[in-house]
Amino acid sequence: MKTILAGKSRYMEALRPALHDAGFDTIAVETVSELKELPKEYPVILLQDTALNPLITNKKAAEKAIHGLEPKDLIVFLMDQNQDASPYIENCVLHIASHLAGLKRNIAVLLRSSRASDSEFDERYRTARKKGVAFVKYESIDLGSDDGKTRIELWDGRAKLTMETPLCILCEASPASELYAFADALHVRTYGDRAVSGSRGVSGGRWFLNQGTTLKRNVKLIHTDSLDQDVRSIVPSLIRELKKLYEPGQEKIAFVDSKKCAFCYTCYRVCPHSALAPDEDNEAMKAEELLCGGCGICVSVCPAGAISFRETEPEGTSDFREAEPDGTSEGEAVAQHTEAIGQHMAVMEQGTGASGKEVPKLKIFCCENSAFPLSAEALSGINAAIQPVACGGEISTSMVLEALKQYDSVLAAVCSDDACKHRDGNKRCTKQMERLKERLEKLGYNPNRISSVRIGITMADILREAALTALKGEVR
Amino acid sequence: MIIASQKPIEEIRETIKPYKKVLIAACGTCVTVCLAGGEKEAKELADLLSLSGDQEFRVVTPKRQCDSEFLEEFDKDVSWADAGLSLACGVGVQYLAERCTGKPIIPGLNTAFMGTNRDAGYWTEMCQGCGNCVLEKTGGVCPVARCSKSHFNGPCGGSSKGKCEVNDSIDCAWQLIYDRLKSLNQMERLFETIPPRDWSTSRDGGPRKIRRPDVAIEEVTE
Amino acid sequence: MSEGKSRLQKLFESGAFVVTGEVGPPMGADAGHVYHAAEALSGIIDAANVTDNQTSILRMSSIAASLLVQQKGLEAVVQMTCRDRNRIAIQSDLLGAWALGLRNLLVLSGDHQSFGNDRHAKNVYDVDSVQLIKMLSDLQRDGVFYNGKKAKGVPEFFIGTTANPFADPEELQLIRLKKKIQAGAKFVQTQSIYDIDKFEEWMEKVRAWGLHQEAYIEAGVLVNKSLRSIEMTQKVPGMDIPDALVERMRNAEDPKEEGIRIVLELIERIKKIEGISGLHIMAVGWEEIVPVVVERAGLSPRPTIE
Repeated sequence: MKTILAGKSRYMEALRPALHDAGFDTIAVETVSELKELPKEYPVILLQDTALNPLITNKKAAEKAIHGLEPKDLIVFLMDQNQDASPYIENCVLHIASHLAGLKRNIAVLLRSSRASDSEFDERYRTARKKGVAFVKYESIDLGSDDGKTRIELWDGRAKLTMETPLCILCEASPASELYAFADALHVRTYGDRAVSGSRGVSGGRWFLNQGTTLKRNVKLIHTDSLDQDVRSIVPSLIRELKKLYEPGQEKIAFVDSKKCAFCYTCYRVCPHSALAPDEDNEAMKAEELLCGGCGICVSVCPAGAISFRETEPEGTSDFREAEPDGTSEGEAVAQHTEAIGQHMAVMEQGTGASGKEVPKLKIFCCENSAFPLSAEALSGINAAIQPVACGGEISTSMVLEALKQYDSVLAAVCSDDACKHRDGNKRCTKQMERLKERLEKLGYNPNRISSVRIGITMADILREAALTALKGEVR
Repeated sequence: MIIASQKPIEEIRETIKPYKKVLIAACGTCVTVCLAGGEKEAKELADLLSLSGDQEFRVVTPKRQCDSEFLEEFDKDVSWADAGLSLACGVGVQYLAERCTGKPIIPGLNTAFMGTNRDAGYWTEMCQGCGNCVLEKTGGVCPVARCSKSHFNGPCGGSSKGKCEVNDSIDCAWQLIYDRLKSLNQMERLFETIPPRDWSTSRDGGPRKIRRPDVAIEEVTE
Repeated sequence: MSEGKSRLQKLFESGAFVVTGEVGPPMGADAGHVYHAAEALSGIIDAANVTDNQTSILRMSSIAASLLVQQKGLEAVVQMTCRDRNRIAIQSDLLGAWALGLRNLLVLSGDHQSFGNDRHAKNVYDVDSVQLIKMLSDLQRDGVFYNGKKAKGVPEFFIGTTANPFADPEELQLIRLKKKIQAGAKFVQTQSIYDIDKFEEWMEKVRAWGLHQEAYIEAGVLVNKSLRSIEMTQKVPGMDIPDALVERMRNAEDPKEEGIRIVLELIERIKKIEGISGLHIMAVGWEEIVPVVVERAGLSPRPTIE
């Protein structure tokens, strides 16, 4: 199967052998003219690489930039997209800011309210603070410039703060420029930073192209942000994407029933893709199809039960059809959907031999991005019903409770800590499971009937162990 | 908006224990928005409580439990039930109870305060409904609801680094008032002594009523 | 009505450097405890605050204990917080206090009930301390209650209040103090001072605002007996203790003596500050040291007054 890998990604060479092993013949192209020479029917994987400001990735560049500034000058790192920024960006900023502070410079890092904070970062923040880096959280910001200096006015919800700096470093990732050229050539719609969700002001949209929904069925987009630690981690999801290109199916995306919507903005607040915004009449929320990452976090969190998954038609029309056409449960709908995609994606009832008579006692919700690709290998011989989910964030309390009616125990297997491609769906899942465990315990049930595990794409053994433990209903 | 949180599950289980068939009434307004008693929570609760298999549950979600016009469906379903479990604020619980002669209506939430949604999953108290608003004097920060001691004339001596003596997760209301009045250039307000309050407009005056004669259908003399 | 004036008031008016202390009523109905404490301080200090359920810990009432204190020849300063009583109860109790011969009154907000053993109690705060001071001094001036009714027999307390030089925002705390004084507070006791430099700066502002001319200001000090005691004090909200002092306690061979020395050094500095009219000595759990401190600070014997 021939597939074009387009983009000047430093990961391309690492990916090709792995794809080859999976039966895909890849053609790597780096320029638009190369792409145009290839047959149109070949599916294209666009590797979306991002360009990071060298001042936040490179000590030398940063040192050079401050050269000539007065020691008393304030140097500002502006993390206007910090909610959305990958941990990588945050890490870079902390690293360089601490480094400059160590050179006896006045450093301030301005952050929009941090939703991405987690315990591992706490320590890094503490270290940076000790070195003298000042962190200022803000709600809104206004930038102006005069006399070669940037004037920053920010509002933290309580007070207004004005500062002036000769060096304001914008800490955001922007798509590499050649991607625009590829997107043009492929007639893929692109979005500028601000055009996507102007309602959020400066913060803008977070994706250059939305993952999976380029509106061109033979074009897929893969972000390389997640590859910083381990190239192998992308391979299984890439293979799945490729299979989808050859066997086009539907995409699940969020759909808000405006009649049920309580307009509470919960979905807006939690959506990792900024895909939810008020509708044209400002009466209910609406999911923007092109932004929706299909993670299901909003579906599981909506207090009014107003959000469901619907499926896009193949070939990218924007019409929907109901994901639950005949009153089947969400889980069954998922199963039907995934079967359509191909055998690889099917719900598997394993370990029962050919006859498959024994009813499984364990249900495992497996995140498609980590646990699901591993499940066939990791869970061989284990009698469990496996259901793929788009993201740990999709696993709602109701889904788990529904499963508990049928199975002795339920395991949620989701991505490892920083690996969630929907920002924090994995953590949401764990926290939700913890809350449910607590409530089950208070009702006198064995809380260990449900458990969750966070695993990386190479941790088959951990998944297996978690499944075996879950089967025993023991404490993890 | 009214902010509430769900009662501990074991407490709910205890209070509904005597009843075989329980109608769980969610409420589609405030408590949906504050994630305590909307349709999702009601269904989850029904799922959780029916794990034991001893009781039957149905869920109904009126738009608001505090207005009779939305309660037709509830009225129908409640005839099936032995008891109702209301996931509304205290208003909804009582209003349902008034409608159901001889049928217990049990609260599933603890109604907490009037407040705002600061962030996903985070609400803070802003108003106590004292019936006599002074926010124009205090820069738009309420000393009744947001000062732990409802001080009207400045902070107590326990205010430290902008935080309340009760615990440092609470902002000192007077620090906020000070900051606001400063930004409004209204510092002179801080020098005014606000006299003792007339609390009769608050709950202290007994249960309160508000009437709009111009809207009322019939003349009311009171 | 000069015969109604308390000894404390007369002393302040005479220009003497006043020394007050504290008697904490017992967590129970034991009058003996109060008598014992009062006897130990009688003649040593000029008057003793009798605390009103301090830090929200349930104790014998301040008014009752004040009467017991006065029976032992020590003048009492009744404390009244706004935490536990509404305006009816506060005024009613104070009418009784005056009738019982109690003449000094210290009005304060009161620590939040969450600090004490009855954290589940309802708090009142019908009036705040500024409002209460104003109500009482208006009553004193006009003979009419806040509710408009004429009083039969008017209490004419010598009203004082508290100030915390270390709480923030500083400007707002000063404004509040000014409001309390405008409302009718005649004397002010400060939070315990450890950071004397900061206190001197604060007093500079107090003088700039002219507050020291409108009310007598007593500087508060607390005698610590051990490292643990100073560390515990450090944790009290609104307390500001320089680390150097904690270090001194830590390294001291005789922590008790070190505690006394620290206080004596503070008192020496305090005495020199313009606008200070007296000293308020607290010795939580170490009351017997107060006579020693007064003696060694050169504040003994206390002046007599007709």
